[in-house]
Amino acid sequence: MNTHRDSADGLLTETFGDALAPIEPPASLRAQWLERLRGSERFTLFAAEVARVFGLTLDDALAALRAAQTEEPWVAGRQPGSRWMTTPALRERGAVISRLVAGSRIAKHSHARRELNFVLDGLLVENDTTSHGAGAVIDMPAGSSHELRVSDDEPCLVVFAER
Amino acid sequence: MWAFPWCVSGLRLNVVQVDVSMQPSSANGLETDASDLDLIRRAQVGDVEAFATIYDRHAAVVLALGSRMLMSTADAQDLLQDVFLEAWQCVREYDPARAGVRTWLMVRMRSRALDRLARRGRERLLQQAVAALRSGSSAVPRAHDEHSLAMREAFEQLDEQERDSLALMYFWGLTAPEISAQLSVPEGTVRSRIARGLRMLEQVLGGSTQGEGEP
Repeated sequence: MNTHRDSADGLLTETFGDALAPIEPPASLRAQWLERLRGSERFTLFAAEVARVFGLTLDDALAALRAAQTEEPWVAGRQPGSRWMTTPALRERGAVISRLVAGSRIAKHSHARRELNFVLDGLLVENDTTSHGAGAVIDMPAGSSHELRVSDDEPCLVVFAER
Repeated sequence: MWAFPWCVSGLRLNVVQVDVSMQPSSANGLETDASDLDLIRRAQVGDVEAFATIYDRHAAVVLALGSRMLMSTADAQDLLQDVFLEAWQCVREYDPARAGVRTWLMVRMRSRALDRLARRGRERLLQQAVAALRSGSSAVPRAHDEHSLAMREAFEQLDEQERDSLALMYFWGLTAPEISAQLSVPEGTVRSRIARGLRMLEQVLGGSTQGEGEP
């Protein structure tokens, strides 16, 4: 799909775009779309990257990110107040999606294996020095160590795996 | 459920390095002063409300394009949700150097609409396209700033036959042989009209489509 101005498609789109009389979509259509965007589709913008980082297919990554927006699969996690969920595809890759409480801490720990974190929402502060927001990947090799803290303002949603 | 593989272009991501302090805003979605690029940058870190503002700004022209192409506003409305959900899934790959946000969205609608048109059967499409061309207004670009005024002037320098050929190619994906057959004009003439039309427009908008525009 070539949007570039150096392509005929891009050039004609710019031209004809200004020639078309806009048609306002019905308010109901917008409402439906926004409901999906705020709900099931909320984290699908990260699907391609989650798929790449955790070795999933795109479809499996999309399914996992949509499932994370439902109440059903969540169970209590090891961290106080935390919850986690997984899907068959995530489980196969040793991954879960974890919801961490605002202000919670994961004490300094060493990694016997490689640890991968992909932040979907919120802010994860590493070693009190480095902040990782939505879209950030924290890739810790085996033998490394760190401590993590969730910002006080909001909970953090993260895809996590140990390899 | 929808999965849109078209944005997984070798996973070449074009996310501008975002200040981590620029986290999703929880404020009301309407951002009258923010530029499209500012909104996209916020959307790229998950700000749904910023992307909702993108929808509010551009859904009307995207729907208009789909309606023109499909010759049905109802059909275009069906596609509109898909187009914007696809765009959301691909937002982290958006590259401002390639196109403005409106163009980026419109090209997505055009692609989906061409897919939909392909299901109608070629003969039926050819007839409908020419009928739509004849019945639709020979719209020229509206002039709302200096740039679009220049584009309008360039567009008006095209004769009707050049505009028709470009419109048939752009809106309905007709090839030069098909346009030639439908308009009863030699194929070489069609190609010349399209090439001239594109040259006129690119002089205004810049860039080069040399070698392209051959449907």
